[in-house]
Parts: sequence; structure tokens; C-alpha cells
Amino acid sequence: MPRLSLELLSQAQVLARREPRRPKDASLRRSISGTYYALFHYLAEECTRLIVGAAHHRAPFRQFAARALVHAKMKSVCEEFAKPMPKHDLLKPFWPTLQVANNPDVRTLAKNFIELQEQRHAADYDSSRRFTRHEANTAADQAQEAMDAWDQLKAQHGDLALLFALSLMLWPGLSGR
Amino acid sequence: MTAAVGRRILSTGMAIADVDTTTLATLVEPKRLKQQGFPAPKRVSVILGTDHTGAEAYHVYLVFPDETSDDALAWNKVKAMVRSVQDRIWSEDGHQRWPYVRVVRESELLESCPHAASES
Repeated sequence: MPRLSLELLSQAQVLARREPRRPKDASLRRSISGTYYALFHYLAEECTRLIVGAAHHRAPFRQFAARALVHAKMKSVCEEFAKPMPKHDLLKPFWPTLQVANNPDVRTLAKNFIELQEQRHAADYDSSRRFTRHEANTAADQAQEAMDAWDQLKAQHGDLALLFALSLMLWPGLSGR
Repeated sequence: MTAAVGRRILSTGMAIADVDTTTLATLVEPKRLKQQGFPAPKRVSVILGTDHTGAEAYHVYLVFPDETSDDALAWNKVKAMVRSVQDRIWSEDGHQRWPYVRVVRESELLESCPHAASES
């Protein structure tokens, strides 16, 4: 796991356990927000490694490419990958050839990302919400599950992993076509 | 987040969708979940609203009694039920509005989503 993602997820788990009896709202909010960013940075690193290259000297190019990621567009992409057939015409040809609809790993990854992004937004901006330790722990479990699903996807269905990575990176430009 | 319950006609691009959250809730009611072998919640609420991007979305609450332990609500214990509920609503809606499914205790529902506390 990329170092930043590992540290963010570990920190989120510490924050969720920090006050054993009555967890502070701030601790749970920072935990949930950090968990989302652990997954975000994980995907940013993994996707740019696939597309730009994993060599050490490519790091500046990966960092450059990662700045193209747009949170809301990533969520839209994930919704497409959770469908039996995507709405967007550019993606449709890949569904039968790569058996996207039957792949449990890409669906797990997509669903967990969507849910964590919504939770993160509430944790950071919705002061009317109250969070529970259970929610913070669930978020961390979902992030870990999504990362494991990506690892499985990359190992077993490389072309589908590449399609997912390209879609995440390029959707700001492709979605309007 | 905004929310509404009951029956509504929505214009979604080219399609007109007839949204009935009561019917959706019936599809995933506690007795059906129990029949599928899941730990039955006390009740299920389905609310039509928006998510943080402004997109229309369902907020689904699987409400358990306050005495339910953290362990019983751990992600690895409830994941299959959450995904089953989500897939059912996502499919019934024609894959248009994302169903955010949350497992909560009754008293937590009052604090985390007051408008859901009085709906079925």
C-alpha cells in the first residue's frame, strides 16, 4: 500500500478508538474523512502507476497526472461501473468484452468509493450529523475492502483494472462526449 | 442532504420516473430480509433526497434496536444484507439514483438523520 494511504488509514483507525468511552465528534469526523482520503490517494497512486508507469523516476509524472482526478467525476465513474450496462456510450463496448457486470471486485471498489465519499462530505461539512464509532469503523473496513478488491482486480483482470483507472483519470474530459 | 418520502413523479433527462419510496421500502422490509437469512432490522426507512453532489439519491436506513452490539453491526456481519438491499433498490430504480444504505441503531437515527426517524 502506498505510504500516505497506509498512514491515513492507520491514523483513522487510531482516531476511531481514541476515546474508549465517549468518542469525540471531532475524532470520528477526522477518522471518516481520513479514511476516504486513504482510499482516494490509494487509487490515485495505483491508477497513475498503471497509466504513467511505476518506476521511481516517474514519480513526478504520476503526481502530475493525479492532479487530474476530480472527486465528483470519480463518483460518477464508480456509478457507471456498478451498473449491469453503463449509461455512457464510450464505456458500453467494454462491458461484454471485459465482463464488467460480473466482476465482484470492481463492483466492491466502486460501491465502497461512492459511500465513503458521501460519508467524508458529511463528516467534513454537515454539522447537524452525529457520527458513531460504528460508522468510523465501518468506513475503515470499507476502505480496506476496496483496496483489497483493487489488488485482486489488478492481479486477475488487468485490462479491466486499466479501464477503471483510465476512466477515473479521464472522466472529466470524457463524460461530456 | 434534502429528503422527501412518498410518491413523486420526477423528470430525469428523457425518462419520467415514478418514484414510490413506500413500495421500495416494502421490497426490503424486515420480514423479507429475515427470509433471506439476514439479521432482521426493526424497521427500514427509504427516503428520496440528494447526495453531496446534488444528484438525486435514496437514503436507506436499516434500523436496529439500541441494545444491538457493535459486533453484530460490524461491516463483515452486515455487508451481505447492505449489498442485497442496495442492489434491490438500485435495480428497481433502473440504476438512476444511488441508494446509500446505512445500518443504524434507533437512537442514532434520531441524531444522525432526524427526518428518517418518523418514516417507515
